[in-house]
Amino acid sequence: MNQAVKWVFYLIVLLFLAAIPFLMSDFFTTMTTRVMYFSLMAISFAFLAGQVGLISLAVPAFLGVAGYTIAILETREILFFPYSAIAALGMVLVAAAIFGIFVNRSQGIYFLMLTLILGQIVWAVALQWASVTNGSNGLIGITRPEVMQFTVAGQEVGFYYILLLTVLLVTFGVLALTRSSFGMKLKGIRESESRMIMLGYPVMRMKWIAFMISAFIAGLSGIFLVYYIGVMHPSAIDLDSAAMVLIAVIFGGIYSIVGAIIGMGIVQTFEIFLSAFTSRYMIIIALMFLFVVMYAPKGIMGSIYKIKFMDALYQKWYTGRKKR
Amino acid sequence: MTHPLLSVDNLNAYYGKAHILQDVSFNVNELERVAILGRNGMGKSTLLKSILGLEKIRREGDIQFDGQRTTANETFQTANLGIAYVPQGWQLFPSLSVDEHLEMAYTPSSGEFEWTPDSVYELFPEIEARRKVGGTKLSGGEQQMLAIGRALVRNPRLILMDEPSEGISTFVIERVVEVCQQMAERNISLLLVEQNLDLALRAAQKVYILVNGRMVYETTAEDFKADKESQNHYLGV
Repeated sequence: MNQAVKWVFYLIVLLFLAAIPFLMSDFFTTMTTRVMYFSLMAISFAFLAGQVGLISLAVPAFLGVAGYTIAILETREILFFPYSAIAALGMVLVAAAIFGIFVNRSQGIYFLMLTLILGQIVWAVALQWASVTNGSNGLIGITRPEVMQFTVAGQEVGFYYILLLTVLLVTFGVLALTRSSFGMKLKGIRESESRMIMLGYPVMRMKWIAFMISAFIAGLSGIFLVYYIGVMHPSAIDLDSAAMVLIAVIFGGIYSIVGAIIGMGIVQTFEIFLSAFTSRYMIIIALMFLFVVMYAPKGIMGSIYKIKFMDALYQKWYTGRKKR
Repeated sequence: MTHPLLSVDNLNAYYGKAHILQDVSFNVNELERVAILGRNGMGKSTLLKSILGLEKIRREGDIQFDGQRTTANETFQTANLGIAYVPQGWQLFPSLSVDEHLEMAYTPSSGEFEWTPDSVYELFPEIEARRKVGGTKLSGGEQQMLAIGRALVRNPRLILMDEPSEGISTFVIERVVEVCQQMAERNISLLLVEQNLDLALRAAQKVYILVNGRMVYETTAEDFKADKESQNHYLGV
């Protein structure tokens, strides 16, 4: 695609997204909002998986750390927005720094297992430490901050716009990061840790920083989740939500940040629409997942590139024929 | 006080129980080009890896860079002192393009001369034509150029080069020799380990011979070139 066409396309998408609260039903707006805050989690996951080669199942745990920090601080009237949100992100960074030390030395399947365990520990704490987290009843009654409630033309769009802006900033931030020198070093680590060590790079420190960046983004997702639904419940950070992120990112294409967002959109949409018809909707999602893994292992974004590649091949073949 | 840029003193290195390097001592002075010659399996690569603290090599003895002990360092700490490495087999990354390799490694320098990706392309126009190509899709010679370029853009004070003659054509060997000869002009010293006598004698000023993990001979490149008897004795050429 031509560069200018690409930007026009992005602009149209952006304008459409911005217009959704005015054009579409409340149901559609709610769904888009949901897709957006879960997208942050997908970006968090895709950044580590695609760029650094680390599959982290602890992504929902950081959503939980942020969400619970806000929920606890606000229901006990200790701190309120924006200080509660700042405290939440601070907690996420501290937790990621500590977790990072434990998981950083591992790679591949061991990293996955360790993050799975960490995720389960956070979930178990949320469930069991009832005096603080209110256990399986969850913490309720968290109200949306006033700054997120502004209206435009009588429509309450504050939360939606702030979330949209955050998703945009995070997306472009991560894309810029992947193209920076640091991003290339992370790719180098993805391909061969030992090679990067050989070339004299502080591989452990870089993985640690990447882990914290990823956690920070998941933390943002937690902030929006808790303010949107007003409830923080252990089910938000259980194994199912880790699986949901994993499925969404594989749908979209593990090497693409935009793909992660699209994948989350697809998974969420299917979940909502299919669950209206059948309670066995997970079977259908699972079958689709199987199809993607078998026939398009690089996901939707990967397939788009493949189509482009096929197109290039066709052009080559066609011009070759003309010459003859 | 003047001290050598790199000084290795009584270095012993072990892979597990295997005693690879035995009491190795040598110096690389500022702006000097030094070659360590030896046949296969004499410990040449191990020597470079020991200097950088790579792999599971146990080291005894003293290694100093610019007067600082480096034996307790992590590899990246030693590298950050100003040592760049051109490893054997180049060790490039398949998913990074030529551009990205250089951009990744580029470390701005405050010195009077700075290597940038552009100045590497000036030096090696061959790889400029292939900027967008993945590192491992290049030919052997181009990969060698990229590996050297990647070391240069870190703007180091010393470059360690492991068998640059391996897997490349005589034409590219010429290019490598030229680049090595120009390094002093750009304030870079060179430590080269090599089997290829011709390349080493032209690229370096000082020559050490490593046999079975021991430094057995030290001379200038010029003298060694003339001394066919020693060449035959130590290297069997």
